[in-house]
Amino acid sequence: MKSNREYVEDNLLSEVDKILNSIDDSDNFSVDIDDFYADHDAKEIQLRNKMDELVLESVLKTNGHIELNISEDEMEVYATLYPGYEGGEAVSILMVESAIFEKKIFSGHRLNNIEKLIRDCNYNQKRIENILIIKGKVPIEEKSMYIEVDENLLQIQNFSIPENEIADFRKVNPFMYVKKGQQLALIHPVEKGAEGQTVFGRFVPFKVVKIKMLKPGKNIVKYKNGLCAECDGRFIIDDKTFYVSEILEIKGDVDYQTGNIDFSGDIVIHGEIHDGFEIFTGGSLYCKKTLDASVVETKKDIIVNNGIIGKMNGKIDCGGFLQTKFIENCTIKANGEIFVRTSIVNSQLFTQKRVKMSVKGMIIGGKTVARNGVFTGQLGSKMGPATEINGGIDFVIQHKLEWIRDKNITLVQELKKINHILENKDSQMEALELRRDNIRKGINKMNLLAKNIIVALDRNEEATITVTGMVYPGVYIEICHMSYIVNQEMSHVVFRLDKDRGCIIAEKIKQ
Amino acid sequence: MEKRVIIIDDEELIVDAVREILRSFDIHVDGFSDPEEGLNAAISNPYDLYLLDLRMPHLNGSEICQKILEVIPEAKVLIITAFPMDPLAIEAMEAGAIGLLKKPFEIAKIIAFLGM
Repeated sequence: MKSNREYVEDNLLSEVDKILNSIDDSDNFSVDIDDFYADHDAKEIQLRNKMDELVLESVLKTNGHIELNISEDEMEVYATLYPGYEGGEAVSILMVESAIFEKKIFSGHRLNNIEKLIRDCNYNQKRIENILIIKGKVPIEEKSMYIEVDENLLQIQNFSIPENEIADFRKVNPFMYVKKGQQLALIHPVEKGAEGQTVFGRFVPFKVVKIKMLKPGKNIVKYKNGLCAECDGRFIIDDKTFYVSEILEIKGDVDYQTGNIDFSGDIVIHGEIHDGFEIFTGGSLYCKKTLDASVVETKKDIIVNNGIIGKMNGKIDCGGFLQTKFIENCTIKANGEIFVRTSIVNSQLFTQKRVKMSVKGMIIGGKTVARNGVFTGQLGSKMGPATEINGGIDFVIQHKLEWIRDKNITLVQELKKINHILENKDSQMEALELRRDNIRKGINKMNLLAKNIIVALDRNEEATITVTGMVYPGVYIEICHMSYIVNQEMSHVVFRLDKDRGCIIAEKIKQ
Repeated sequence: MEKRVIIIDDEELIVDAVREILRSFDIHVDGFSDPEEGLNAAISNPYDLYLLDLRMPHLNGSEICQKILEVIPEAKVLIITAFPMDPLAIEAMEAGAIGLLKKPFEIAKIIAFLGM
């Protein structure tokens, strides 16, 4: 590449040649000498002006150069390359190295792109902007040991259906079964950290990341770098731990061959549970057929594929949710939600959550107490059996108050008898007076108890009773302590408590 | 201020039980097992709550309810019944009773209606 000076000289020489050539032509002309010198002077002035112009132009020519930008965290160096214009000096590796040296960038990893960029800049005469050319060493985080549970096992559904959705119960599979020896989780060992370094050579310390670790629970064993199930069972996980709950599997029915069942883990029954048998479990119960008139108590969930037939003797106490096709003549208490597909007939249901049925579901007769309300297709029937629905109430508190009431009535009865006897001035007056005082104390004690728990009775004033189909006369509704008697047919209604008016109102379901 | 309640129920046991129990809550209870006597007392004295058994001889709870509300329109009347769908219960509710106490009822509901 020519320098500016060379460029100027070449141009000048070229102009001079032109002029000299033009002078040669003058041999054919007779020119007055004075005129000649005048012409010569003019041409000289012209040349000088031209030369000045050329020199001026050469000042506008630029050399190629480079700008470096360093990121705030000192971990990246970006270069912008400016090409040389009009014969200016081209960008070179030396130029880049000088710029890097001037900025005191002594560390970092050089990317292999700089030579290509320089060529691109010079040959194409284009500015190359903000290209990363040097990277600092990023510190590597140190990670504590942690356990990674197989994500396939995390697909257990937490069974709950939003308010107005139609449930397809067939899709529900709340149990995740695992086999003995199945790997459930991977153990990730400690990952050591490493210091980083900025482009200026400054060391950057690494972070120590503590990953929250789930604690493996019962029936989990270590094998190589994983955790496996020690037995067949149900995989259970929460935010603190995971474990395998042993399963008791009964291939047939629960009857005289099996006897009553008392088991700490989950129970799976492939057949039916016959009339009169008792089942107690510390886990969940899954019955693939029908549950007949039995006493069942579970700490967790109950799923009965067919239905539950109580024959007036069936009593079920469920610690979790309960799901079944139908319920007949049974008393059921559940801490969790109660899901019934087709019908609830002449039964006593108590739940701390909600009773949820399909849109074709019906509740006929009996009493249903659900703290968070009821969702159903039909309430009552044309035959008009009394159907009672209570919303907003904590049934546990209510049962305690009922117990207190019964005790009070008994005590009052005794008190009345004693008062009657005392009026006749019986000889055992002193003993009877003492007994009367004790009874009064007993009544006071019961009432104090009632006073203490009474505040918890009305638990959910927002509870609603939603009926997507018909509500028939004969239905009696209570929400908290307010009453509503259905004395004519209604359809597509929601019963709720109007706190301002202090009564229950029936509103059409909003479409 | 002490709350005042009147209960009219032909079953003396119920009247006594309610009186005894509500005494613990510092609630004054006047109880009558004769409906006519009870009605006279109800319209002569002010009460915070009127508890009327539905099915009684000579005079039923719905009739008493209507007579009370004629004299004291703002009276808070509760009907005691084991059968909420009883036509008389519906009649009483339509006449202006504020609620039902379904037998066997809890004292807690009486407390709730008294706003305590």
